[in-house]
Amino acid sequence: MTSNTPPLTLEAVLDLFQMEEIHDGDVLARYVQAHPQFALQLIDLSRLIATPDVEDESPLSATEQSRIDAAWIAHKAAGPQVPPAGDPLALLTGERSKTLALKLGVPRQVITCFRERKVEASSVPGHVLQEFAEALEIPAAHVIAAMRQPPPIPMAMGRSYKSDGKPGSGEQDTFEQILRDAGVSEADRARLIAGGD
Amino acid sequence: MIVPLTKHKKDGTLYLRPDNVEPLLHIIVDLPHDALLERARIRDRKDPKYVPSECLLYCIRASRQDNSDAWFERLYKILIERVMRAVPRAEASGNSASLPNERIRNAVFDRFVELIAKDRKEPNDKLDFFEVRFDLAIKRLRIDAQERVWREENRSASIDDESGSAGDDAAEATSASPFDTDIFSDPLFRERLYVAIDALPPEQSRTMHLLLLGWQTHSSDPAVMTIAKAMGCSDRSVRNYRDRAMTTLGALFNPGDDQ
Repeated sequence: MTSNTPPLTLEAVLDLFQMEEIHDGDVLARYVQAHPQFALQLIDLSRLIATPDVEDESPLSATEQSRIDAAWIAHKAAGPQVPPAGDPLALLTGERSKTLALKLGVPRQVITCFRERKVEASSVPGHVLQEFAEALEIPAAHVIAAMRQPPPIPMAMGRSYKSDGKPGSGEQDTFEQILRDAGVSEADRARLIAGGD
Repeated sequence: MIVPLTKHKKDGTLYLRPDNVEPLLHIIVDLPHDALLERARIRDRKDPKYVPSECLLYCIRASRQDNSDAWFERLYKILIERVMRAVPRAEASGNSASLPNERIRNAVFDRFVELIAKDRKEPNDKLDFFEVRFDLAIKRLRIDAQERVWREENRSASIDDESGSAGDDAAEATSASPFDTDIFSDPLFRERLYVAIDALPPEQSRTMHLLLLGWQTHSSDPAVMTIAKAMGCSDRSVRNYRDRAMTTLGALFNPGDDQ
């Protein structure tokens, strides 16, 4: 709203306006005064804010149902693809695994848990995923997609489960739980979960 | 762990989910999938088990990789059906506004579907506001859609003129509101009125809204923002918009003129 800043785009102005706590006539006038080129859009948004949220309760028509079904098909297709060639997480062994563990400051068994699909992808913070992506030299989306795949058979069967093991194949824990199970300190867990060093 | 939003406000702080959303997230992310779906299907907002759309969107964004599962498909479809239902239907007005309304509705729906697909492909902050105030975010999509549709329909050109019977200039210039303030303070009346205003042509709906906000049609003080100034038209045009709107609204609220 200051005059010495570069001119804002319509999107930026409406972003600011919609985040205002109050949307009365004075606030609108202030915005229209400051951004007269977007007056109509501001007035329209202000009016819609004042308009009650009315939900259409009537049954969906066949056309509307089709639109929803089509949207789902498009959404499903928009997802990140698992690279067709092999299992990228299988590369998390040896020196690569060691280096990554050191970089993240976690025991190597945490990396192994990723390789064995024991970690829920949605529980892993973005910056941690990014470290895996860099270590594997693939996009982060592919790391996530690979984590969602079933564990490779040799892996699922090849590692014996000890006292704290979970023999049910396909079960996943949150990243935080994996860290806890691996004995990572509370401070380190907080650092990893919170997003960086 | 609830993933924080990443979009920043103008003061540099992050967008925060409201108090009715964030605590509920901690509960629903631990619900079994079937239980979450059952609650998500509730459309009555007063139902204590109702799950706000902000929460449903969080679940969808937070489990981007789960969407091959059947339950995820159902959750996704519940949310986008809510989007569809949030924009007025074509036949609601029963007049010539129907076709544009249908196009606006479809455009809002398609845009939301596009945004959520993009977010799945590559996480970004464009949906963050939807997790803060979902209904308002959908209204925001309407602004983009209706502006485009109205422009294409070229509806304003046929309406914006200075002809017709405007009220007396001097008498109208200072009127702040066309409605009795007692009536307008009734929230039920106000809601009905705004729903009716929503179906008016754009210039009329803007004029009525600004009058209800207490804006003046005209002011001798150049520093005061007026309806005519904001809408870039003459005082006379504003009064014509108002008169036409009042005629339509009068017919709606007093059908047959028998009251």
